[in-house]
Amino acid sequence: MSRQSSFVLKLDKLTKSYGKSRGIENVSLDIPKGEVFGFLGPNGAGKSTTINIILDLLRPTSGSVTLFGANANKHAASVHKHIGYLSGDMETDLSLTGKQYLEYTANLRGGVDKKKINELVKRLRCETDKKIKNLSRGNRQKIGLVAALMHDPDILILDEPTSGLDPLIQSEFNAIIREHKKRGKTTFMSSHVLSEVQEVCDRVGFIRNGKLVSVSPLKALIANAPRRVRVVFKNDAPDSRLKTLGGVSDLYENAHSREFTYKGDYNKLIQALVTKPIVDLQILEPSLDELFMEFYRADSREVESV
Amino acid sequence: MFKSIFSKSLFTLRWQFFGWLLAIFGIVFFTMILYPSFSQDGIEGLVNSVPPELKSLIGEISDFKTIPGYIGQQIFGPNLYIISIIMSIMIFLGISASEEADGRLQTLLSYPVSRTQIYFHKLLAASLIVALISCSVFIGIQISLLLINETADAGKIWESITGFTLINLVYGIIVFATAMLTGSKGKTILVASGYTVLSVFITSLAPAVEGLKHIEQFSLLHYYNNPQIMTNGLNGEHMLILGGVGIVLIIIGWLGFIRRDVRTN
Repeated sequence: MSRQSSFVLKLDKLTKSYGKSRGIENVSLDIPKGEVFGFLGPNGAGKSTTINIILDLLRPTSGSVTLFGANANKHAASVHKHIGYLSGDMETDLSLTGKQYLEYTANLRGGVDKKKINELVKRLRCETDKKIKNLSRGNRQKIGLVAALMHDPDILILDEPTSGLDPLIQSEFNAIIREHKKRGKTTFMSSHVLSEVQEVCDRVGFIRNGKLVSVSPLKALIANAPRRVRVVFKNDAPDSRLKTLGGVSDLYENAHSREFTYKGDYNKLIQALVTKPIVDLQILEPSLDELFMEFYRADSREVESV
Repeated sequence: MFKSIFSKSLFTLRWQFFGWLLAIFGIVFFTMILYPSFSQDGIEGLVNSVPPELKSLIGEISDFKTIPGYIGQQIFGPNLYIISIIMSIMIFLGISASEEADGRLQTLLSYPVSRTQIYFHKLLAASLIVALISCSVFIGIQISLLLINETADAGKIWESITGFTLINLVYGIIVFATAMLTGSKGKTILVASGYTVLSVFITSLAPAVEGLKHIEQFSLLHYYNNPQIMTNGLNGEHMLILGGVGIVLIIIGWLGFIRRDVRTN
């Protein structure tokens, strides 16, 4: 298998322009088989535009999307056989019951094993006898999730998939994604529930103002990220040393305690701290929320500077 | 019922189908059973008092005195086709622009179905519904003819129904092609209602207003029931024009739909 074909999904310099308004610009990304990829960014950054191009709802201004070796825009119908898709605001014929909708989507896929559908319905505790219009948003999402998973797709494309789901079903959803991965299948998801992304994703990409600004394995991203440091001193704090130490930011002073973000050589940090007696020291691993906020703050600063 | 986009579309349109079927059947039935009243003496004064500009809307004296004239004017004339064209517009709009506006089309496109498949399945489903409702006119006419002890040439009725079905379909196709070409419900309603109102206006008034005569041929209604099919038979050339316009619009709508972006939120 060639290197190129080892990628399930390949975005190559993908650009979408909407006249004056922003779309996405030169987004390139390779998703290998079996990976769970988290696609993150604030509202309007370009996440849904990217997903809509992958699904051939939008056509790129330039660049291409390759799914399983085929151009996703030129061969959409055949490529979609491999895809399970769910958006956060799934819309369908509200007059259908859940059962009718699942029967219809199974037929659109050319027939799906009813046993598999029933398993998913049972697992996600779906209400399939009621009309979709009478279901809560969360219950509609569950029906959509069954429709996305029923054919055991090679790639799941999820756009804010768990919006409206209760914590129990979110947890079940995460378990399903992990099992999907275990079977060697791929997932590409955008989400605002960063704890969920942190729990299931192998790699994450941040998109900002239509540009993919960072793609990194989640573990490496967290390992290389600045840490939040909390120190409680017995008496005075070594403020002059902390303020002159490179890599210290967001310093908060409160009586004998100091809290700050640090990115740099930990030996130098320790040397600076131990000049005063320490009562307690915590160096905290950042959450994905904090990393996301860091990107978002950078975005705001850019906007302000403009 | 959920085997394909076509059968699912028929299911989606079921209430519109039953509603419009009853409405059209009802209009035909009640118009027909009033024939004996209209055909009696006394109608002449009323018809003659109508200004010539409005004669095309209510017809001539002969259109009230004979069954073919009455069916040709009162059933297949403006009274019914204005309503049936509105029906056709609503049915085709519901299955095209409305589904895109509320996101159902986007969900459907994420499945392994081609845009061409979606386009023609929906077109076929809406066309079948409109054709069936249009054909129900035959049943309405026949039942009422039995009740009023009259007869009419069934062949001529079917010819009229063919023209009636075709004009309804062409106006529906204008909506469908515009919706699939633009993806915009607002633009579709504007184009469809704008063109329909203009064409009814032009065709109704052209016989009496000199200035409208040179643009009359741009109204598709000019090619329907002109002259009355019930008395003169189908005009093959007119049917070809209506059919040709329909086919051209279908092709334009299809080519536009397979090339454009689908509206996303």
